[in-house]
Amino acid sequence: MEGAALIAQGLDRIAGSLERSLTGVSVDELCRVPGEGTNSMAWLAWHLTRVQDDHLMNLAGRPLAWAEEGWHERFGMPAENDFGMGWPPEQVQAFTCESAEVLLAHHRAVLARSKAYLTTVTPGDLDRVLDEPQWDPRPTVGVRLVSVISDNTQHAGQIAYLRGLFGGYGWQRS
Amino acid sequence: MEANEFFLTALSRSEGTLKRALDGLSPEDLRAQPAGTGSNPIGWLTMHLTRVQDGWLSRAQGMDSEWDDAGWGAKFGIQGEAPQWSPENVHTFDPKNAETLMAYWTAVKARTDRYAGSLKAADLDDELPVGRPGAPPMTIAQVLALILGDNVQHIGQIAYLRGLVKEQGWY
Repeated sequence: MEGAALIAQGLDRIAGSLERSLTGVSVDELCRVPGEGTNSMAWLAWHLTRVQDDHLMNLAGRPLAWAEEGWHERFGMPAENDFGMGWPPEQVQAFTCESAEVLLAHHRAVLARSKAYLTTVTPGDLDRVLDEPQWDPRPTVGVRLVSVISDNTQHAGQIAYLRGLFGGYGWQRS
Repeated sequence: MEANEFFLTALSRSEGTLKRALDGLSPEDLRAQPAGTGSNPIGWLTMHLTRVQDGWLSRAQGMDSEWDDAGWGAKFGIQGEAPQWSPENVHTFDPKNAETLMAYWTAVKARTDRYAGSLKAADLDDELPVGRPGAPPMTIAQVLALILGDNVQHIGQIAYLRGLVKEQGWY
């Protein structure tokens, strides 16, 4: 199995975790924060999906789902490529969404583009060095994909924890 | 870049997050349960994610786990077999301190590096000699994906919990 196939499997696992954690959760609970300065399930799901869209489509040299598919309108946001980095706590806490279904549909749309890209990636592509002189050493395509998997998997775990924090013990068995 | 190189790169990154997230936490921080006794504390999560990795690696290689070999149960005050992790047992689990948790993690990480580092591309499609009881066989690559998915989700939870029980902006 090649690296790109492992990444695709990792992305599927993240999507599965989001489907289980978010399905049926109310907007009120999705946007709730358990303490000052903490992130809500809705913000985390939006943010991790935007990170995946940005990083994978940049590697693919394709436009982002965010603007091309009009997802920014579903979130009532500008089309510019904002994925939540550096947002102050007040802005994170004010973040809202239409429903869990919109968060999941956004994620599914991005996942489909990511997986289409990954099927085109050869082992040689993974070692291509990115033209990003701000990093030392400069990252390769493979290293960037590891970053996305690490970021997205951590956030999916946080969303699952928040579901249990608000929904109570044993939610994943119901 | 092969799947096992991806796995090891991602795991090293996750180790960095774990070290930063546990750094300077007191035994009380490690046992804090912000939603009451039904939620998992940082200390238990760290032991659990390490032990899951330890278990899969030992099954993949048909050898004893680091937990059994080095008597980690006793080091965490568990006599005999580890219990089923009911909310009550998670609540009473004593993680000792961040150093003990990191020592167990470091020992399992060293085993993981040796094993995953030695895999050849063709090995990754081999079926696991001992899977979970009743479960369909899994390839080594699937096991690596499973370990990584579990491990990194829990490390993300630990990072979130540190912000929740201790301070925001710590990272």
